Amino acid sequence: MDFNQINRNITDRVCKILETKAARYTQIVVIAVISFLIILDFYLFISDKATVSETIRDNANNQLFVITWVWGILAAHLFVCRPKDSNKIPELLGIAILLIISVIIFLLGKYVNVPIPQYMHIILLALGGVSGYYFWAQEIEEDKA
Amino acid sequence: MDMMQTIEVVEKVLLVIVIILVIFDIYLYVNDTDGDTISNILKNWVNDRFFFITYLWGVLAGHFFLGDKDPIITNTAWSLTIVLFIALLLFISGMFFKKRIPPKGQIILLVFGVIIGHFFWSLN
Repeated sequence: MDFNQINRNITDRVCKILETKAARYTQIVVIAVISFLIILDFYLFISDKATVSETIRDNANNQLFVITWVWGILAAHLFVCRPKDSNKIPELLGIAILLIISVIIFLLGKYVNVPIPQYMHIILLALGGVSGYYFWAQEIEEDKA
Repeated sequence: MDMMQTIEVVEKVLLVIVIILVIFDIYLYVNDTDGDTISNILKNWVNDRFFFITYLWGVLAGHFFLGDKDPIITNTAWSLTIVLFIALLLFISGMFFKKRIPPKGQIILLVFGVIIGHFFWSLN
């Protein structure tokens, strides 16, 4: 395959993926938000101000380690899909359970006055991921390809 | 503006963005169109060819919440170059895959991303 062919293949594939009609508006919003955050962070970095990364890191390392837990949940919910009909827990119930646990962890953060050790963040990420998988997973059909 | 003020402004901006996204997503969930929520489109992207996004989610986790005190790369420009170069490799791989990668593959990408973020893009 020459370079032009490869280039056309990639462009076609990207266009096909972006063309799911129902979601056109959502895709634009997501891309816009991500772009805004990248530009904002770039600006903060160049002006030697506190970047988005540092802000999140400072908060997560002090009292808001619930952010780490939620990040874990979202990782499983957004990216790791379960086979169709394998999840027996109704979606709203699953979300409610996760919300309650999140509030508890949030309150724990207010109560604990010292920064938690780094391995706790690993545990929070992993637990969040597992919980997200069992309580709030998206489902996907069998790959028929 | 001093450092403390900037952090407070950035916190508010992030909080507002998160709240707007949540409200927007709830609207998308209850509206008439099916399959248009943020979760749905990310699921489609990542299960089609854009699984570099999963890797980047892991990198960000390692970058925000972990971070080696003695990282392999300390220069931010180099850290980003490595992170993005791997993302580019994953993007190109995705263009050539014929089958969808299994959920276990997504988990591996997440863990791999966390490792990269922790050792190569540390804030500490």
